[in-house]
Amino acid sequence: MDCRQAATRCAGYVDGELSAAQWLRLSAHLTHCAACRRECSAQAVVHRELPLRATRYAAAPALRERIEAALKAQADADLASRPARPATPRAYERPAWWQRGHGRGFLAPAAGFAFAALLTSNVVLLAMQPSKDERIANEVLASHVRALFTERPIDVESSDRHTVKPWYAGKLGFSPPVADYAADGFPLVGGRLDSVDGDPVAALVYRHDKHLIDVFVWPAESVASKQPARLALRGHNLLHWSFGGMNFWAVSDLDASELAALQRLMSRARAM
Amino acid sequence: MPHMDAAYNLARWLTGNTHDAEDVAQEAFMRAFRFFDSFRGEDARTWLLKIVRNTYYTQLRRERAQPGSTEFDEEFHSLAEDDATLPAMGRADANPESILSRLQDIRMVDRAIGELPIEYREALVLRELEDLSYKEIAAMLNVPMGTVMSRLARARRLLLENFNRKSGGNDGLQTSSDTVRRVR
Repeated sequence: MDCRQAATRCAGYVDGELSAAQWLRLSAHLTHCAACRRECSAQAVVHRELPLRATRYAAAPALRERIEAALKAQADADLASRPARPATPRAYERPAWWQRGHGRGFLAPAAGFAFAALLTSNVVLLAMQPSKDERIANEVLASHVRALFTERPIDVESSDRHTVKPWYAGKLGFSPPVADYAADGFPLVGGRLDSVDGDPVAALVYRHDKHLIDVFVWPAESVASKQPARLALRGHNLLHWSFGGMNFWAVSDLDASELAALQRLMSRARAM
Repeated sequence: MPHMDAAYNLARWLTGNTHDAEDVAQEAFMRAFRFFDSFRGEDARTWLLKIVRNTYYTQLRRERAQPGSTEFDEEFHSLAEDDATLPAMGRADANPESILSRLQDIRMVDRAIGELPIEYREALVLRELEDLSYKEIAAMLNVPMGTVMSRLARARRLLLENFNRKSGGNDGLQTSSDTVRRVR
């Protein structure tokens, strides 16, 4: 190893990014090269001191507000430009902005983009036709991420099921089961209206530590229970099951085991 | 809004001023919102930072395409990627510890980073201020991990030389382009 190579490797050494073999070769060089030892310690000083001494700029509150307003305006514009879709039996009067995903106006380019990205991965080679579950999984995840992203994950914010449940009464053709599991580490945060596969659904929002969990609920085609099935998609875990005549889809960046804990709670509470 | 500070910080270091940084950050969020479906489960912050960077370079290209706009920065583009020799190594600043200890003025540190050629500056900001791994930086800049390593090595080297001048090294009148030439 020459000094020129060693000087570059010093960066990797300081950043803890060298392979074992690279590390050994650099170490061997450093034992007999004082200049490179100085170089490594110089880089180490920069690495240690820079985060303390350089400015990490923060977004001004006015910028935050401007961006949030612009995002909302964009969402509203997408919604307004969306061609009217055929009325669905349970469509409510004034579709809210988060529903834009289901018209051709908003999601179409995004979905095309996602699809193009999918084509480049080898995952789809065997399954070009997404199953209904996969389609729902994608939709549910997109809705979850979008809601988090815009910091509007909740329409009705309450930990009281007697507030959340009636809130849905005038908005959905069914009554979602709502319960708070704060005692078990899953406090109810609130709920919002969303839609899956073109139909309005309830999205209940729970919290676990710092993670938000969306549980999408809508009536099942049969009353038969379905055991929970797990899916992992784009860094998120999804769990879906049917219980008491309802379909449930939970999505979060929580561990699958913690999602399963919420699933057990929801199934137990319904049984009572 | 998650990661807004990270997005703004990168935009601010890339553009070098508040006004342009805010434009880039806002545009990046609009793009992220429009194309969140392209989010493939990588770290959300890394994904967003990549959009910030792309937004910045897109705007830069647009500006350069206009007549009378900023000229092509030959000094920056003449820095060959594989030219990682560091002849100044261990010379003027045998004791970086003491150089840094004299740098009490945070604006001086900021200015020194701001004077780095952009490809070194962005690697340094992503590594030291956003704490990204080489793998993440490599994916974001679309370069091999070895290139990330050599850019960081050079960024730190250039920075130390700049510090050395600013903190009263004996050649304090050198301009930044002198520095660039000196290390080539």
